[in-house]
Amino acid sequence: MITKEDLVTLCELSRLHLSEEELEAYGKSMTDIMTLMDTIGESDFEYNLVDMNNAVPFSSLREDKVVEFENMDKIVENGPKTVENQFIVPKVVD
Amino acid sequence: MKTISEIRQMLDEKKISSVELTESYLEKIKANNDTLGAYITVCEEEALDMAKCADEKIAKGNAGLLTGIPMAIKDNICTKGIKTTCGSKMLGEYVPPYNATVIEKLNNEGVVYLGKTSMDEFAMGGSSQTCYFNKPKNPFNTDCVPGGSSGGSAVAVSGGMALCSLGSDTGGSIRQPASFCGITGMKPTYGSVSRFGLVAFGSSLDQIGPFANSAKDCGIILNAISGRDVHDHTSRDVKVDFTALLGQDIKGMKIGIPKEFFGDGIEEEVKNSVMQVAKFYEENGAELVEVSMPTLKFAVSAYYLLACAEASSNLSRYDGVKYGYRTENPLSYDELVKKSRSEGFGDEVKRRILLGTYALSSGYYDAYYKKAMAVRQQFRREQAEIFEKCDVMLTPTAPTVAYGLNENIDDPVKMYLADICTVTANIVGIPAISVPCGYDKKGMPIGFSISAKHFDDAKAIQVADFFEKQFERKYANI
Repeated sequence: MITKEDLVTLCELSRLHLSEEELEAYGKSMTDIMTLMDTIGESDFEYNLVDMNNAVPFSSLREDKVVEFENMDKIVENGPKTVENQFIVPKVVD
Repeated sequence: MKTISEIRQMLDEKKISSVELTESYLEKIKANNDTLGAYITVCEEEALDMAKCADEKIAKGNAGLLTGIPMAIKDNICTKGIKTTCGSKMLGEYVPPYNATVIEKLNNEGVVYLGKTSMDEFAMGGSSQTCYFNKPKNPFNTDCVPGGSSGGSAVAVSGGMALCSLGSDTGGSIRQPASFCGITGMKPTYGSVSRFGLVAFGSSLDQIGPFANSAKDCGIILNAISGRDVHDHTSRDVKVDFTALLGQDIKGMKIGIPKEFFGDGIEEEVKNSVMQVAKFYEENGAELVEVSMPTLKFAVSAYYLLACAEASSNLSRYDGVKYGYRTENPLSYDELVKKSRSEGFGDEVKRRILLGTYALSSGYYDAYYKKAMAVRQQFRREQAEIFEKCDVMLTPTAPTVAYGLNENIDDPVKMYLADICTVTANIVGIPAISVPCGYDKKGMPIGFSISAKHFDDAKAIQVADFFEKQFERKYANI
């Protein structure tokens, strides 16, 4: 069961805020979902890390070099609050 | 409904220009989009400009198979200078400064983009009703869902508002809406199409693929968008000609029928319709082989644990700073991030982020995430065994036909369980194509799926095409 305390911790880890009402509704739906997810505990397969690594094509990674992006202004334009190519955030350090 | 090949011939023979063709689709969009809700953004001006360029290319004799072909694009595929909302308030104003690799490839072909299609928010859902913007409806019955998450892309094709479209498939998001809307849709082998520029959901599961009016059309589109891309290190350098086996006989082919896909929970009409397809293949010289996938009972749990875990990590980038929704007047950095995310994401997205965080958190990682990874490996072993005995596998695409707009919305467990027939192809990474094969008593489409081993996409298309050629398809009455 996902308790209210579990949810508050998960919200903190996920950087989300839920109202009291939402905590109750999410708690119920997530408990139902985790009851379904718990069925995976009935499987008795062991995870083999070596098998997974073989599936990743590390040999074909691209060369690690800097490539200039030609459209920098447009990147900054998507910032919700910007000044002279800087993203503005509330003061972090006094 | 015409196919790409038929329209290609008309364009090349100058029976119609790409501009005229584009105008006719734009008119259909104007007439039907309010009712069907397929598009979030219609690119009228851009589409007509692209069509003019395509006509010039055709006039010079430089046309490729897709030059001048009007296509719709799911709104989670980045299009330079055109809003890409991902169906979310979070990205409601996002205008990508770059194109996804698939868009660059289609630009080289001279494809015409009609617009960006509606979808479940961040591709999380099976009905497209979690979209923050217009929610698409099924062209066969507007009181029913079109499926999801790529519902808008399926509706655009089924409702005659695009000749073909692109979607993305993380757990069935192309195949299930294709089945619900009575068209063909394909998830290719994981790694065959670059994911660069696709807004990430579950990176080890996501794959871009086409919707069209035939399996052959899906193959034509995949030939254009597939291939190794230096911007996506999971894309593979494997040359696949998706249309290479079209027209070849299926005599002697072994078609696996996994018994677990025909058990309880699959509607009788769906089961019967798909078994008729099996009978058709058998009558035409294929051999039906009963196979088993005992791990299927863990498929939905494994899929949602993996997908949510990856989503919780992928969606951590939305912080209200660099792009995306930002809350008004935050008092601290922490408040900026928390309130931006809480106000910018919808309920289903927040629920999946929380579920993924839970599965990855200390004390639960081994019991959930690692266990799901172990199940994933077991699926790989089971499917490898099946494809040693069979060429392809035949299953229903979805347990039911399209359901009512307000059904299941408050029952996430029921929604998740409905993905049982599609998620294994994503877990394993194999190709699968959904093809219409019948209609229920109320006239709603039923689809079946053909899957094959990794990079055997052409075989899946061959088998799908073989059925399509004799099937009398019905069209939505729009």
